[in-house]
Amino acid sequence: MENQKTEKQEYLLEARNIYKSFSTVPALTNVDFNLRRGEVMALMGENGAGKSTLIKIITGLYTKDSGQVLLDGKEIRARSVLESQQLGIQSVFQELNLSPFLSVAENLFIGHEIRNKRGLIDWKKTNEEAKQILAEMSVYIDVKKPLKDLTAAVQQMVAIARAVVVNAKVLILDEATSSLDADEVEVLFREIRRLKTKGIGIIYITHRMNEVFAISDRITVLRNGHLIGVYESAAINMSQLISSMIGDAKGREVVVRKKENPELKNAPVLYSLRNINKKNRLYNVDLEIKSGEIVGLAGLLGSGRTELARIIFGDDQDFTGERYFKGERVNLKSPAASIKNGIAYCTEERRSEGIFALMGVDDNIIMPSMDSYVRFGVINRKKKNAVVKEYIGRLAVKTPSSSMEIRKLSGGNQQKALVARWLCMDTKLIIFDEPTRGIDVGAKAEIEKLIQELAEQGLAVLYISSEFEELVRGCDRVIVLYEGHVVSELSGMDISNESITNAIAEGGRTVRDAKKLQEEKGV
Amino acid sequence: MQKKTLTSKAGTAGHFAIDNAAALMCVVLILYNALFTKNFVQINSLWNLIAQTTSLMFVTMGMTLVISAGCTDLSVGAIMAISSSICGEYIVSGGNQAAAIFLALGISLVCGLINGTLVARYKLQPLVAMLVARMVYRAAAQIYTSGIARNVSSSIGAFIAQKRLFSFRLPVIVIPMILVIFLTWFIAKKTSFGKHVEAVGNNQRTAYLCGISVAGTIVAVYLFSSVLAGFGGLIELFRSGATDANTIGLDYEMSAIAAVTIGGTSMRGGKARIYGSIAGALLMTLITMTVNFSNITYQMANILKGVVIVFALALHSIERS
Repeated sequence: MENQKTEKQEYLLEARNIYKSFSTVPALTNVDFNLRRGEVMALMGENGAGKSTLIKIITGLYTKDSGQVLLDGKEIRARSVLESQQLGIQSVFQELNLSPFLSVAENLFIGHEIRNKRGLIDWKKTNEEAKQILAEMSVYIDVKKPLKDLTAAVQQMVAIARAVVVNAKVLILDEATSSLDADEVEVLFREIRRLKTKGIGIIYITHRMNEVFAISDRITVLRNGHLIGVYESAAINMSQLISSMIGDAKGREVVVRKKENPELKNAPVLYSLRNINKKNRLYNVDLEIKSGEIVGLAGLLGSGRTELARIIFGDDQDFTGERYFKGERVNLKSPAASIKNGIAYCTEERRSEGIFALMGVDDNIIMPSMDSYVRFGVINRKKKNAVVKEYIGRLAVKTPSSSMEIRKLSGGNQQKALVARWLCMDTKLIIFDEPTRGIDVGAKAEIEKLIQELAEQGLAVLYISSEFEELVRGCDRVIVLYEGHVVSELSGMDISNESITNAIAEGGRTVRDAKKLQEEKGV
Repeated sequence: MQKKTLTSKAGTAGHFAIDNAAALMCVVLILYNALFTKNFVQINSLWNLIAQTTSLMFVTMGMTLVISAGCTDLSVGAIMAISSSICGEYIVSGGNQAAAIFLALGISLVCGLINGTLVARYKLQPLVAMLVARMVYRAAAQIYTSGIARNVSSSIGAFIAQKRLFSFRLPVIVIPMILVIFLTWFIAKKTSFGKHVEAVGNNQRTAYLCGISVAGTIVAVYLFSSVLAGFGGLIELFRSGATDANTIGLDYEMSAIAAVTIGGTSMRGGKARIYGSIAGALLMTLITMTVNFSNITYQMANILKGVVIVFALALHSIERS
């Protein structure tokens, strides 16, 4: 580096005294932020703390009301994402900003094309360089493939590789791991460490607490638009960090379900699966759920958790095996049929298949149960409003009015409205697929508590989560999946973080061995 | 209207202007005509405006639901040609008037069923399916009438298109127009079907996971649009007193889509804005009228409409950002 480390340029990126308000409501109040070269700075805070506002100011998406942003000690005033990228600030968001139909190489070099003498794109060289850059990251793929054909993890790696191509000084990773499983996160971390040695400064935003401690050097905590503190990651522990983020922790303790519930033993089975097979996805899966029971589905990404949920809900017909509901064999051909029977599915893809973005909270809640407020096709408003009001209150959905467009609510409140959608009808079995993904710590605890209460009211709950702690706290039983095989079933006091992790590891070995054996037989 | 969160006064006024762009532009044009067009300020001008808008209003109401379901219907103009031709020819050949009307509307429904099936069942790209339907339906009407325009006189037609009521000379034609507006508003805002339409327009996948029949909703919306287009064709037939498969309903789909978008319903679907569409349809007629009154070339009207559409869309995209 030609820049000598003078005192003035101690920081690679610095934000001083940033103030930003939206129509008189302050979103950031005099916030300072700094990032050194070759450092990972975690930016933490609940939803609404001001993390994304700060990032958007740094990347030029928002203009600040007052304050300064400095890069290499010089003040910058980026007015668009393009400008900030040209200055060397590159961001990777949860929703990838890449083009799914373009090839990997095209995505890497778009805007930085390698040209030949005649000004045309040199495809041979482009593809070779793309291959080499990815190989440095230990990603070996066909770079001519369209991006959409790759797994989420590889797509994420391509997005990061782009930071290398454009010679980024600052890399912002916003919830970059939310669609990755543990192994993939490890690969990503390895890459982050490599980028650090190149002197790139990394701003890391995540909801996953343990990742923060695994990868970050320092942590900046924001709350309600104020800077709460900057900590050395080694000098702070998890509970200190959480209390720094949520402030007064009153009323937010997570309820731990009492283990060993004797009533459940004699309860009849509400729903069961027998010998479910789906090509390349699920193998001989059996499953039983009783009323009042919370059954967890644990496993890594690709273990078949969501596939199983969709089969139960009648969203997927491409499988073999039997489904039983209340002791009778059923053939649920569509979500509509399942809903009629009292089976509900709270999806993991809140934005793309959960909410009706442009519709009010009220319509979002009553959509599947609308028939019960309708006479001759006409909606009975009074009846509808009463139910909506009751459930907004019961689930503590924070919204200025019940007809507010749901897209204007925070992620946690959207999620609560979506839970309300399934509770305001006669639901007997509810499937939660990653119910706490992408929502803040406070709302997470509320949702967990709510799920417990539902089981106490006699609902059967199938609980899918990548955060094993949630399953440990909440479930009566946990079924562990590995690549479509049930590898373990834990119950009561046997459920722990270690037991789940061990079951996955051991299951992985068993499944691999079995495969190998089969292959050898085949030969 | 919902309670708005705290915004500055200028912001609120801006929002109001954008939300009511079509109505405001109508007001501007009416003021312009009041100042510069002789004899414009009299009750008959209003009746003329409404009478001339009626057929477009029918088509626009259907189009509002189609667009809010996230689809488009480009075949409405051609369906107008079909329904007017069938009804006219049937009457000319000595058939019963009421039977002629029902027959025309029945065939319109068949067209709608074909449209809906192509889009919802066979998953054709709506735009492609509609371009084909538009072409084929008008050709069918032209073949059916051998391309010959025919005078049609009928008592029902005369009553609807020419009769005036009361001392303020209310044209009878105003009544079906008000009825169709009310009907569409009621369906969109008060019925479960209306909510399903908006839900499908928001997100088909989410709607499916909520147990809504997506295909059924889309087919129903096309049926609604086609039967209203059929009505629109009949009104044109009665007003002009002649069938003409070549010109009846020509470019109506464009005017209707323009009216709906200026009215604030997004082409991406998800929300039906009935009031906006009413103002949008009136605006389309007002532009044509103004051009006629001002002795400008008729073709100027289409250029003006184009300008207005771009202006309205620009306003909405400013609002979004």
